[in-house]
Amino acid sequence: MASIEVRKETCVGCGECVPACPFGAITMDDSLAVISDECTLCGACESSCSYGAIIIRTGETGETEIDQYSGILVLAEQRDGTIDHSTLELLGEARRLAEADESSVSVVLLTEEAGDWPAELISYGADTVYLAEDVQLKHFRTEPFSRIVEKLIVEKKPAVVLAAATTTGRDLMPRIAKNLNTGLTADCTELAIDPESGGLLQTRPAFGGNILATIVCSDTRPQMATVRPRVMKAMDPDENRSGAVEKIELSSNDLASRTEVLEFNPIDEAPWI
Amino acid sequence: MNYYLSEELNDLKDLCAKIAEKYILPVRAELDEENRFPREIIKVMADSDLNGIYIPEEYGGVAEMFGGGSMALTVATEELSKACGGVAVSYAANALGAMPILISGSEEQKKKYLPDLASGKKLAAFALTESEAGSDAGGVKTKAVKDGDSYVLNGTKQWITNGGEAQIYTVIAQTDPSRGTRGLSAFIVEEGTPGFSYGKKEDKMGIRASSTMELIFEDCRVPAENLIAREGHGFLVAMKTLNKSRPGVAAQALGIAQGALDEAAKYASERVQFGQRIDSFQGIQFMLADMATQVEAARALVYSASRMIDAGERKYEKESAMAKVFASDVAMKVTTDAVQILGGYGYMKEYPVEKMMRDAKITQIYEGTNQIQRSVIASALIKETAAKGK
Amino acid sequence: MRIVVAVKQVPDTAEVRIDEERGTLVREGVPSILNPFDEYALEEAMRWRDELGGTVTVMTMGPPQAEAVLREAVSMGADEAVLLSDRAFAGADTWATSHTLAKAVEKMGDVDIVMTGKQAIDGDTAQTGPSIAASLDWPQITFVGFVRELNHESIVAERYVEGGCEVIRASLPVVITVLKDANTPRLPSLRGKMKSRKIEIPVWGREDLELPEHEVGLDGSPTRVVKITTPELISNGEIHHGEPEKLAKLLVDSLLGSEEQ
Repeated sequence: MASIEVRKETCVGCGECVPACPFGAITMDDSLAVISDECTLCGACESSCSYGAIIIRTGETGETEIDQYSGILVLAEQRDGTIDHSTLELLGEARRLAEADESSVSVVLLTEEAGDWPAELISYGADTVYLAEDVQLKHFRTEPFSRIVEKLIVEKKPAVVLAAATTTGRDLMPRIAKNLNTGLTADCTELAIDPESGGLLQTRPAFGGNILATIVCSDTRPQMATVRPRVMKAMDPDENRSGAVEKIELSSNDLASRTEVLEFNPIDEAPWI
Repeated sequence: MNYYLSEELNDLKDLCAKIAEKYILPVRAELDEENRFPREIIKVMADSDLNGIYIPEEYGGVAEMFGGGSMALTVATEELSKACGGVAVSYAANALGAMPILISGSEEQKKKYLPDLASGKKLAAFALTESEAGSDAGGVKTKAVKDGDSYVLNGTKQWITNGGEAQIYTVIAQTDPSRGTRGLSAFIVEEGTPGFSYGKKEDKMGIRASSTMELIFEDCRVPAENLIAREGHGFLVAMKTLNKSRPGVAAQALGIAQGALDEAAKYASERVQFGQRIDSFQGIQFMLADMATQVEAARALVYSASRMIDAGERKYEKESAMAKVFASDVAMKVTTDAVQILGGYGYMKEYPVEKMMRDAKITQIYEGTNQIQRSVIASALIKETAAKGK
Repeated sequence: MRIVVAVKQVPDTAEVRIDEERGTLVREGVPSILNPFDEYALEEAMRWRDELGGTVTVMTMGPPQAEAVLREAVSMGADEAVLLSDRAFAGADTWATSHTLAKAVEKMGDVDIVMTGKQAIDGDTAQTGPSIAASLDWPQITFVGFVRELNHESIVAERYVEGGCEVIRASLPVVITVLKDANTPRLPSLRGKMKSRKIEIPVWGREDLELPEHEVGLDGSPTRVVKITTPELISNGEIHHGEPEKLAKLLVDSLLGSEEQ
């Protein structure tokens, strides 16, 4: 388990760490820094201490399960009869990240009728397209979508799952993450692979954009993240790329839903997003 | 200056300040321009229980929270007046209209009328003034003639605040012409009573958000149970009502003055002439110093008078009059000075201080002119001196 | 109708400043407020309670001082409040937080609908609402801009998405997250303020919720923050000084894309 320690012998009581903590978790007690339960192990104090008196120990991540997970799965989104550009951006980013350890990039598409979208997704970087096609998947609905994707993740074990931080992604991903007991980082503006651990470094704004936080999900898999649209770059489509298309078998149970979409009213400007 | 207000009064003040910022400030210029009553704002106030701060809990109010109603009304009215004197008086005039019922009404009358006023479902207005009866309130000529189990009212009331917007009117009318002021009686008249109609809405210099109207009574039949107290008690009821509400007008004047002072001080800190902020010039500094001192002195008087009333003092017309005359004179001076400090900009409608100056003037006139107030103070002083002499 | 509103006490991020030298947040003197989005959820809850009858219960997971936002909610009209507070809850990410909040909803029992604001203005994740729904295994409607209908069986709500508005019907019980478009929050009332001073607010800890240690707080959080930086301010602007006439011409020229400078 991760922990933090203030080394009594080393701490000189300078108090530099106190204002460095974004969570107000440090106080000085008789010239010794004391760290409260508000601490989130972010490491700001460790960096601020010139004497090296604060040590953060990361927990043992020796879960062998983690080794069984590999590759990056992207959740595709369709809108207005096309693949949403954010999906292509994610594929581009996934390709870039996958280069680090030569892992594969797959994409899951849930739709009524896929047409030539699988080919398009492959040309934009997907190695495998998991396809669920059914008239009941015409509109996004939380329960069928989350059920189908959860099952896929359990079966295929991707190390990373990415979705765009759209209303769909922000609705769906937290539900999946909670059900799979794994971590989700919202609205990332930067992704990178940590050379030491091989894990995903997820950077995103917080406190109304006043800070950037880098987050990791070290002990569970998959590492899930929603990514801000229009930040990542799609790759140039390559018609010659090859890939596989795998159909997802659906049962009526998978498609059950306690919500229904009654109507959709398009509006030219959506100022609320 | 810290007046050590109770937690509840501070809550009330904060709530009024929030309402002022969110609802009054954005529309005050418009209300002034259009002569428009702030119905929506009064509703917001009522929903926050503000209409009941002077009404006891047994009639649906929350007066016990504040240990009475006078200081509460003062604090609320002052805070609202900082934003707009017209909106503030529309709110405070309800208390004025309700006061005869509260002070002298029967249990049945209180139970019948006060709950709706506390909840804001209905608004009230006090109808005393006539074309021939201003300062000379005894000169009321509206007649109320007993006929079976009703009274028939005939006459016209003038310049009634909340006229046309209120549903409950407390009206002073003459039941016995031979007895002068002892021949006046107070009645509760509801809007919609046949024979009760509205005359013209006044186009005023200031407090234009407030609705000021003529009330016309033409063979208006009012049930006998709507008589407040007894025949002949009308003048007394009116005087008690005015004495008790007077700090409210003083509070309105105080709030207007404070609002003007704040604007002037802010402007003076930003305006640069001759390479300096104008608040670095002694001429301006001395003006601001005097304005601030006068406002604080007015506040001390108004709060003291209100606290006296809440403490249960039986005689307070001298203090109540002092608060009103001083605060309103201060408001007139401070708003005029504020326009002066803003200079040319102060004269333009784009800036809020010219409205404050126009709003302030009425506080020297209504609820008893400042000349009448001085008479009241002098009479009280003379009585006290005579009593000491014995 | 039993409605629960999950609220959060957050620093007023509009007032937060950065210590440029240290690259850290300056939180001193920053007031703590009720998360603005939660105000709209609370108003929505009260609106339906006023129409259908029932109770509105507010809850929050936080340190003892978070009680202040519960009292504020009561002054605005909430009927009851409960504080989820325990040293064990500290350091929680959205998984652990939503897990804890969901357990509290289960403990309350007979809840028809959970409402919460779209996101908290400090974390900005917008994850807690859907995670609570997952924990409870209830349907969810996110980004609710307007609730059209509500009764004991179902809800019909407008969901504001890219390109338009979806109208969704969901069966109850349900979790919804609410946008600022949904309503105009009411002000506190004087009676409400009085009640908020007097009301007793129970505190539920880890054991009250029967949650194991590894499912709450830092230990229950699959994600953690490893680094905090302040964003670089990239300034491509220019500052000019001079006479008003000259500056005005400069401005107009640059706006019109003129060659003359």
